[in-house]
Amino acid sequence: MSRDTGGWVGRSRVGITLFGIGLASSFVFAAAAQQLDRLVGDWFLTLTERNAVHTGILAIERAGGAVAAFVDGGPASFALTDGNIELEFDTRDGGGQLLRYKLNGHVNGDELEGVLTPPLNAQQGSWHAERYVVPPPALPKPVDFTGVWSRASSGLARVTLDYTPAAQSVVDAYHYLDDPALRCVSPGLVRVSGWPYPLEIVQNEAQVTILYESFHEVRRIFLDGRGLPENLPRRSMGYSFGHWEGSTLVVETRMLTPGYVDLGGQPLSENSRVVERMSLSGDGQVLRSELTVYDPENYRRPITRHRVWRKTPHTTILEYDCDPYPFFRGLEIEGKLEVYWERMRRRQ
Amino acid sequence: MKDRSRVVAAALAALSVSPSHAHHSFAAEFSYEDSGTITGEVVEVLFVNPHARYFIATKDATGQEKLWDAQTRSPNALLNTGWSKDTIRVGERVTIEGNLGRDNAPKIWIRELHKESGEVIRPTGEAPPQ
Repeated sequence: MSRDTGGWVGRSRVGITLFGIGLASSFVFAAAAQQLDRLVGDWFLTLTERNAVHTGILAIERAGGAVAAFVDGGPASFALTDGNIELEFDTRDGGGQLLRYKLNGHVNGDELEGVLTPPLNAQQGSWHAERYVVPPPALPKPVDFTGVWSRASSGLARVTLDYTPAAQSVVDAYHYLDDPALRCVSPGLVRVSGWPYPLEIVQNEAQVTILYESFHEVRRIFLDGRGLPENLPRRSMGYSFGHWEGSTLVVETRMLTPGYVDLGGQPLSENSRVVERMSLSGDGQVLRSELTVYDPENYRRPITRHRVWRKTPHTTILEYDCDPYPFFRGLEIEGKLEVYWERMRRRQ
Repeated sequence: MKDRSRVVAAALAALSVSPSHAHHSFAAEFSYEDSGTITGEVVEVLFVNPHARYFIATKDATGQEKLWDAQTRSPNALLNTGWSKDTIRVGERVTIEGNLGRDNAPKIWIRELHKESGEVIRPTGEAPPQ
């Protein structure tokens, strides 16, 4: 009897407990969903390491029932558990080594913040993110970019991007010998803008001219309202047209030679469009460019790169003295010339 | 005498190589784990972009000659460390320690270069470890 009663009481407790768990879990679920809703949108990420600061754009989206996160246009793994944010994404070093950044954190007021675990067992750092908003168009208020600038950062260099099937097959078939820079041919706007050599800017009301040491590239950014030229050939740096939105120079570039946007053979189509938003720091010593690649043939979402230069008036721009001979001689020594010719034939 | 000694030091790889100044695919061409040393005569000096290169003739135990492609940073990066086009000349005998080419390719990314005079040069400009 007592067992029965006990059993009944027991069941009742189980029933109540289950009911309680049901209530609690739906409450937790609702709370989690609400918390997630607060995260959906675009965030401006700042990663602070011991020796470097990187910026990026974090996009958190609901895709059906799931949540998807992207950093600078490349997929990132994202989890939200009991208010703890976990974000992980790939990047590369200057030599193409695949690395991973890991972020753990939480919401703090209107911002996100937490601990950053950089790659290669580097000392932990911190990160924070605030809502990312492109300012509405403002009246032109030009500033002066004139001067010699040296690279301070070329951004996070995401490796995995949101490829279309066409782009994925290009990436899969890529071989490092396909890199035109190896044979002294310019790798084009997206890569040249991140190259570790200085550049000089001269400007007047009608034109901003950027003289890159890298590959002796020259860009004329027309501010006089002219349109795209007709019947002119594509070129590695394309044709650029700019206008001022407040003190930000917004530059749009088209007619780029098809090529690659990075070391992993991530393709760039002939119909791509690149938009740069260039601005100066308050003291005029730091120049930033947020560069966005729109290329829907290859990427389901735009790619972003964050370039930063520091004013270095005493830097001399040198010749980009590039000679393809050692590349070919090296291939001969390595016994890879035939492989190379075969790659080049396939390119046609 | 072997012209090449392979040292597998995966644990040290991340510390021992610093190709972050490279701007094309070091990772595709050179090993992060596999280091080695070559000794030979400088037969060609190409102090040019994108990377300065030295072609080095080594000889194995049987006297068989083998050419190596030794690469390092860009000329302008080297100039900042005091390494110029005349730092290493054709005809000099040098010993190079660095990252070996992938798939047994006869190439090496220079981490440290020892001249016959005993002088040691590093492309990063840092003093060699004592």
